[in-house]
Amino acid sequence: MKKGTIAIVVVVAILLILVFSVVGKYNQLVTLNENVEASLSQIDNQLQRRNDLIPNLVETVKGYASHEEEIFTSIADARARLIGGGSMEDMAQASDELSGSLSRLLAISESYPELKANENFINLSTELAGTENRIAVARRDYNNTAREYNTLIRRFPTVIIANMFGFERYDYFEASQGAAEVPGVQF
Amino acid sequence: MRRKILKFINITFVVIVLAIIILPSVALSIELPKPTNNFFVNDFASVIDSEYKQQIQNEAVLLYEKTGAQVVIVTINSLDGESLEEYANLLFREWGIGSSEKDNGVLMLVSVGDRLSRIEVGYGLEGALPDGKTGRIQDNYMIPSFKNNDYSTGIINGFYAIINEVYTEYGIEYEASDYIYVGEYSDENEEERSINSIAVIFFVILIIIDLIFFRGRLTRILLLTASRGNRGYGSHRGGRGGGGGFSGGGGSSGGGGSSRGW
Repeated sequence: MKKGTIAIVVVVAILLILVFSVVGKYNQLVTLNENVEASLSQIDNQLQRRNDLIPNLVETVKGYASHEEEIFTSIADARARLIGGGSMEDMAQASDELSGSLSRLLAISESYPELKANENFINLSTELAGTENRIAVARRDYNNTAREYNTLIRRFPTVIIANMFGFERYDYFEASQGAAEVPGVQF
Repeated sequence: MRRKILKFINITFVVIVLAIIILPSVALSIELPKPTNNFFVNDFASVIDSEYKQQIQNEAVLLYEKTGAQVVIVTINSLDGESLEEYANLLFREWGIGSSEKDNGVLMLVSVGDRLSRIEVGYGLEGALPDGKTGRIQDNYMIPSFKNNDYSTGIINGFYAIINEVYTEYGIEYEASDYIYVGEYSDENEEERSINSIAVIFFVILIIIDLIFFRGRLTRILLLTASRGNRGYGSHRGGRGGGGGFSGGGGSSGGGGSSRGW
């Protein structure tokens, strides 16, 4: 075989290897990216689920404690802020504020024994606590998928491919003070 | 001799590097127990009467065989400061309760020391056991007994309430006396399966030293003794015939369920 031919074969082989590794890395980035997006929409699902629970819960409490205006207003405001949308940080903060207001709403039941014993209220409170927990779990899962993805796009040599195709970093959910507290119910 | 020492240092270095890479992924920030061989009943706090334990195990196995769903009971002495919800969810996923296709698992976690209990439900059974219903199960069947320190009754009643819902979900008529389980409940099955990764690495290093300096004589002797011992051990386990050996199917939970305290 001529030396020239060998050289060409070697160059082509190297090129093929490069192309395949780029394709492999790119696909891996796509998969991890999709995982992150899926986790994000799971968070949205749970937030929506909580949103749907709130009107019923508020109505039930109003039936026994109608003059606790302040708490009802703060819940309505927090809900409005969430629907308004915004950056991930804004949404996380609005969500935490809503959690706080809901926590206070449940705490009201301590002053109204009849409300506390009301079966509907018990059911809704449990559902709410369950949903808050689901939100916490969804956030944790998101952080895990985001970390996996973020780590990969920073690693060498994947970082080159990531920059080439515009893969960007995702922010993490930071736990704010008291956000780790799931509104608990003790009966 | 010098070459052997260098070779030893080389290999040890590789093993240590590997250990540093592997160990972090093995260590969890929360120390979770491993499931017992029975898998469905894990009474780490020793609060369930052995008769009830046997009954629960039988019923759980029966449910698993008929529906593929896994209902697991875990009692612990303390959460050690961890949050009940996080502990339950991490344990649920670590043990892989339920099948990975259907996520049809349920975990009942009772922390006797913290006076907290939780029922955690896998994605697949959230229709049969919505949060409110699991809350009612706890309120009606478990908490009243727990308040009297009667954990056995509370747990078995809660357990039956749960499996009732699961059977309904799968459209199966539930009959308690359908099946007489032949296996005998053995306390030996209560041993936690433990894998100590540090010990494993330690032994690997010992074997490497042996291979380099003593041409593997010690390792060979150890292997011979171990295989002779295995025959005796093997027949002992065979006699149990299905007394244990269940494990999680890789199911997961999204955090649904309810928590209660007393």
